[in-house]
Amino acid sequence: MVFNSILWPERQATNRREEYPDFFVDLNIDQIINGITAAYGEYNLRPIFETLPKSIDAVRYRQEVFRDLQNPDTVVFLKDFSTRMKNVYRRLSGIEGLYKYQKQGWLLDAALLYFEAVTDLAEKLRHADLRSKGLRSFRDYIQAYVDSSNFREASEEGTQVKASLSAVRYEMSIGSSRVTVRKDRGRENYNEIVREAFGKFGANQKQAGKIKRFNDPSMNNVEVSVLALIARLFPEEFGALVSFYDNHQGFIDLVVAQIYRELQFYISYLEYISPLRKMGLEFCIPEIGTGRGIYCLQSFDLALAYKLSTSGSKVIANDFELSGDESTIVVTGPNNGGKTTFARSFGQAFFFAALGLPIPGKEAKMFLVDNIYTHFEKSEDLENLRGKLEDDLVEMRKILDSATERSIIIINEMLSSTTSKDAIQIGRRIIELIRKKNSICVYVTFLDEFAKIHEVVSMVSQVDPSAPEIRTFKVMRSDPNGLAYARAIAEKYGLTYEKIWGKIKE
Amino acid sequence: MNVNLLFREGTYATSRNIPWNSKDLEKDLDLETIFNVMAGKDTYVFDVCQKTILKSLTDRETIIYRQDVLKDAIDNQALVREMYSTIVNAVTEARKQRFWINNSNPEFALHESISVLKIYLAALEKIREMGRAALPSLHSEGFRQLISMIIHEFNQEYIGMVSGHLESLHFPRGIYVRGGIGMGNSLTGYALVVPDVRPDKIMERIAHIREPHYTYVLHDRDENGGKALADMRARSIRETAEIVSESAENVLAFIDKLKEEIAFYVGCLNLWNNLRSIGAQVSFPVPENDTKSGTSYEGIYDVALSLRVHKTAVGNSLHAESDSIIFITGANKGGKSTLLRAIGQAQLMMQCGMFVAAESFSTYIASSICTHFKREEDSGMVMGKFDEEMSRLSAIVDHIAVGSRLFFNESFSSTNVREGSELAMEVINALLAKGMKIIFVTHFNELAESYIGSVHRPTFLRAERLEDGTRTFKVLRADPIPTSFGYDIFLKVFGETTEFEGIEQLGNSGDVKPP
Repeated sequence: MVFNSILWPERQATNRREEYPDFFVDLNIDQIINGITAAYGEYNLRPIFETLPKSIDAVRYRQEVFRDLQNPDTVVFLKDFSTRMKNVYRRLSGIEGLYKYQKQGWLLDAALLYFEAVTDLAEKLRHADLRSKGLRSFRDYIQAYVDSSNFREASEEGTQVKASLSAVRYEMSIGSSRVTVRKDRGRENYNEIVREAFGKFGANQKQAGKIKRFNDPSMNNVEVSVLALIARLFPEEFGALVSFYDNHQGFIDLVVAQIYRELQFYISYLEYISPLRKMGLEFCIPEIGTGRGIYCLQSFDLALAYKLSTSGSKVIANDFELSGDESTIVVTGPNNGGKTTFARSFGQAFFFAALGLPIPGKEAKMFLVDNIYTHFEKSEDLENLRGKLEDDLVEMRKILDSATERSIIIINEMLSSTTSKDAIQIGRRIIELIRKKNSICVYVTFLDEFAKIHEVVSMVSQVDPSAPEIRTFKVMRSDPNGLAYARAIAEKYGLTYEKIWGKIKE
Repeated sequence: MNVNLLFREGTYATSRNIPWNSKDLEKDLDLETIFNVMAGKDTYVFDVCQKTILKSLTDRETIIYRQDVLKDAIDNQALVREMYSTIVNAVTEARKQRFWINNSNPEFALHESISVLKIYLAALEKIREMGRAALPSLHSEGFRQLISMIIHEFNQEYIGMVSGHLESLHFPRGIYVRGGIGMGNSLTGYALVVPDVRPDKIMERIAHIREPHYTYVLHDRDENGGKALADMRARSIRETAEIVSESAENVLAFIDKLKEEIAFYVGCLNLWNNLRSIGAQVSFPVPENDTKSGTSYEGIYDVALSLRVHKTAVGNSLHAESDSIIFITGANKGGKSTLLRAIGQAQLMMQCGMFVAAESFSTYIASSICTHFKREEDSGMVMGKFDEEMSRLSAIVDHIAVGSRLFFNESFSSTNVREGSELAMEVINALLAKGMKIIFVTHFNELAESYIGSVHRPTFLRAERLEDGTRTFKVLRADPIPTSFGYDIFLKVFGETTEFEGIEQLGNSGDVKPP
């Protein structure tokens, strides 16, 4: 078998959709993917994040790579390789339109960077402890490539050409309509003299290092013409450059280019979750199979956690578990108590697990989903309540028609457009239908009655019993409690003796 | 080069930011009226005085340092005002040189910096000479050090040398640079080297021509080429332009700092003269580090009020050994708020090194100063009145540190007496336990009354009202007028035989003091 991917163990017919499914928006997965890929625009990673593998083998192939990437040293050198490859492409971009010596100069600089990047990568891979099929195959491939005589000879030639060009020194006098170049005569630096004279004005001396040497490698048309004159002053150095260019134009290997892109799938995700890990949040590679009986300890909503991490706020994690015959969770509790967040984290866990990614949580067991369906209350168009209820039910019907026992259905406050009595009756029927389908379902509702349905798992967003106005954002298995939550104004502002005492800084 | 009229050399780092509650302070203590008089018509002086007064000092040494500088300024008003106007004129002149020039072009930037530097150096020479003349009559460390520094740093010899360099930076014979080959074969380096001089001797001239060299000449109408060449010249002198413009900026930074610090004293002089002209008393306060030193004042008055009406106001006096909590009670419109404002203003003015509006004033240096005044209902507010009051109080609690002084004016009054008093006591007790100092104006007599005999050794003041109802606007030491006669009446009506449970219930509710 020919190695050509660290994402797919074998060629897979992609089943990427044309447009986002609803759950991307409802579960804030679109936000997460946007966040992950924000700094990786040129790799076009979105299709990879939007394509769920159909086989467990593909998921495990990726999980193995992620296990190898638990070694931070491995991540460091792969990131370093990526940065260098990015610069190789940057150097090559748009050189076709450039003038002879300029174009050749850029190609030489790109090639030198590439040779160095690949050589270093081979060296690093050789010493890395790799267990995954994907990265091991990649290592073997790169080693053979670097050892080839073509690669070695091109690399040596480029280095020599560059060294002699770098040694060139010339003096240029710039008037108002002419430029004269000659070989350097070693004159004194005039700025040093000026700086010395003005040094007494204070901060000058220590600012000296701050002034950047002019380093922009773009050239204007006069400079391009002057470069041709310099080439005449130094004919040998420039002759060697011409010959390098003629022999080594297509120096990038196709498989190397492909793997370079696929690496970004891994790196971009690890980068995205890295600030969260630093906050102490845990991620795990879930055990993935086909059976029911799933759980995740310390799960959390990745999109919310990312947002909170920027403000330094605390993220609340929750556990969930469904044993073999359990399939429906009904979540009740106070408003703003973390119900929707819990439902989102549940859906995200299955989605990211199916992509082969480490998921939020300490330890988890998942199964490979075939699809995720969501039905979230939309706040708009409340004018036509009757129409809305009907739309909701049509939507639900569609979901039920296509869901299977490997599907996840997440419903968030669906029946608020009707009376409680109707809502309870309809809701019961829907839950019953879902149970018949044997899909996994999370149903978020303000109606406690649903939580009392036989064989439904009831989870409740908790409040602090001693201070009911405080939401803990914990969602746990318990009977629905239907508490009322009043707050006192002074309490709210923390203006009690103890709180004031505690707050004031010594 | 530091100015050091506001801070002794090296202590500047201890300066603070504008406090979070500056808007409340300005409003509650009527500071804008004071700032306006200090400013005259000069908005810059307004801004500086506002900033300097709000950024209260907390160390006694710097307060005294400023008091000394201010005393010098009062005795040498002409010098202070002349220094200020010289700086203002120079800055205006320099701005004229600047405003039409595109600063991103190093050639322009270089020329601009050269002309601006010349203006600043001339102004500094002028200040140097007026300072030299005034030096014998200056006694404060701040002023003496500033003038000596200017005389030393900007001496004639130095200014002459710098002027010479400014002339030679016009590059009359073209620009010479050394370069190398960089990324993508670009021309790099552009390091300015000592320019060519025309060779005098024939042999040198021949040698010069003989060296291999190539010249690129622009076509007459090659506009792009002209731009490219200008760009290359610009690159060559970019570093030079930065060196010179940075020097100009450093001199300007010094001039700006000088302007700012002088402006504060100009503001103080304006206020001093204004108050003296209406016959009001002013004096330098005595700041104390010891929190146990109490609060004393004689003839204190509301500066803003006097400035508004152009008249001296009724002064109040107090010598309180214990000032952890001072309650001010008494008749409506009897001068309670006016006194509270007067003390607040004096505290702020003392802590920025100014004189105060009193014959004498002494108190401890607060770590921060906060006001919590009852506000008229704000129509734009979504919150209820009490909610709004509590949210402001909560913000204060979030910000203060031990040793702050808090000025309360009718706080908690947007709820009823009983609830308000209860809640106020809880807050006051917590604040006192944390070492705060409080001055509390209230018409809740029972709140003040409940502190009679308290371990916090409260000081009680009361706005005076004569038998016939006349208000004297004197606020004197006096206990609050008692209000809790409810239990007495209860006992009187029902006698001692009444069932005890009933009384206890009332007592716990806070309505009646338990026996």
